[in-house]
Amino acid sequence: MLPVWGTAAVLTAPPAPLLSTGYVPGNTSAAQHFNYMLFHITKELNNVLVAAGVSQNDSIDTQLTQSIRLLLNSTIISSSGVISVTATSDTTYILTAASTVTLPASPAAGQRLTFKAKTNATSTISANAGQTIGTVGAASFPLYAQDDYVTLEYDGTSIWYVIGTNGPLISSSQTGGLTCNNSAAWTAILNGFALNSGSNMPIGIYDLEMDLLSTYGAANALLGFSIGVGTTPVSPYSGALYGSSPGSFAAHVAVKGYALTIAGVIQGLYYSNNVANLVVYNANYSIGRISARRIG
Amino acid sequence: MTPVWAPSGSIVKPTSSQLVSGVVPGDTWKAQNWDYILNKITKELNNLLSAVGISQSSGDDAQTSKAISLIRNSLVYSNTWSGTILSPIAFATYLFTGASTVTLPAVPVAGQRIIFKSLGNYTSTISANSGQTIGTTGSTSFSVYSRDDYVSLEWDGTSIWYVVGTNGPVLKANLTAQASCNGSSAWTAIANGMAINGGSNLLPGVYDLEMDLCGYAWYSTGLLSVAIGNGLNPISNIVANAPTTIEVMVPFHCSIKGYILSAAAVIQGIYWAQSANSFIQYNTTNCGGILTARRVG
Repeated sequence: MLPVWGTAAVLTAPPAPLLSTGYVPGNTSAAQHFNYMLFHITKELNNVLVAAGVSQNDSIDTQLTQSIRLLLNSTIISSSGVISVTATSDTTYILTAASTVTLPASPAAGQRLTFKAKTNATSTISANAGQTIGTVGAASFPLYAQDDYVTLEYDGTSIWYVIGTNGPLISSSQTGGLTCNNSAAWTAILNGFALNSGSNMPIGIYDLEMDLLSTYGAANALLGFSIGVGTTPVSPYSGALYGSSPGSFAAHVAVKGYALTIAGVIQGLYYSNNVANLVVYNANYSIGRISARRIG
Repeated sequence: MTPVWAPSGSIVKPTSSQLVSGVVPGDTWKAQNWDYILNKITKELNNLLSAVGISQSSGDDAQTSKAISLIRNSLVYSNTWSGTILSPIAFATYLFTGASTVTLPAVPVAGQRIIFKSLGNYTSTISANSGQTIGTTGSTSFSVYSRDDYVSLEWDGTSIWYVVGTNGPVLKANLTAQASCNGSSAWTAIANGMAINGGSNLLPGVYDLEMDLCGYAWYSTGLLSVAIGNGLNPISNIVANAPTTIEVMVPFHCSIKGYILSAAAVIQGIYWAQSANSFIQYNTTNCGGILTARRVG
């Protein structure tokens, strides 16, 4: 059976006489009422379904399935590669491999899109021209590991707000030793202790955290640590000042909800007043890690 | 207006002869088509409403309220459950008013989302149905432990309930007794008290793992390292204390975020000591230790 679609013209209620005298020749008055109501229903359904991408040429079963999904507001699509999102309803994209996604150019206010990584591959969701993700000016949001996800909602003007995420994580490990330089200034520990291999981290809001390895300070020496944007400390400092004898200590520094408004290198920093100070005492028994969790 | 309910039997498309001869006396073939379509629509509405618990015998106001909830995708059930939940067509939120064991629907709709939320401090477990997993790590269940814990799951239409929202329910273990190191120069469990889940396997999933504790190392030969272990394999950063000519007591902090546990295992604190004169947690009054596992996926 072919589906019934409303006419393009605006429907108006037939005048009372037509309902009794025969709006459609040969029909009863009851059928006239049906005519009027059905045209209204099909017209509304037509508008909704066409907006949701349902073709008049689809089978009735396909149309019903799509209609139920429309009620659910939850189309779910598995895809990968280069994806240009055209969905106009709320949609979840399961990214089955590394993907580069561009958000819709003209989304509806309130539209929600969820992106979920199925594998350990990096995918990037990018805003369209004139849009940002969040309020700090970010143009993209990455997923790094399987089960990472982010849900975005469009505000109707220019911002995709992050309204749900597990906080995709990027981290690095430090396994080498470093002799300090006695510069008495904040200095990068090593490139190996910088996120994103020492390249800029994209704009966004992050939970930053660093665990330091065992460290060794010479007698009468000061050794401090911090997380830095470039060589500017952004976390609380962790340091030690030894007396007449050398010693070692472990350090943990963190800053949560840090708004990175300009792309920059996130890395571990140290401050040392003695060349006998070491960062990473023993690579076999102590390693460190710096991590950034994207939360907005 | 009294709602129209479809007949209980299946709806059969009228034959061509019925369409032209008139199933409903007095109607034209066009009206016959409309009768059929109208029945089809009301049948589908009937299925939808019945699936979300709307009874034909309930009043108009109750039906209207449920229908609005259906449109808003926000059905809420509050109770203590044990068993397989319904397969609502709409999004649904289950509020646990007591410890519950829930099995997810066997035949959910693609894209269906279900939220589970604990209203109190009790453990409830949401289990996948046969042939289903929760997330991509092979996990078959997800637990909430504390009040306001929640998880939102979305069905992919094939076999996976994806976690699309959670506060990250936490399991933790405290070390309150002193553990003397054994000088074995091999990774060793700190103590049963510093093992998640009472030393039993932790289920597959994605976790944020974190451990704080205090250690004391003897001088000269007192290298003492600590880490979070999957069994006895270090999986976090390894923090070491290696004094030279003095004895030192230091706080340790180990963590690994987003750890993918793909096979059930014991997650615990572990140490590596060169000397039996090293201690984990020197003083039970003034220093404690804690290991936490936050389920994030």
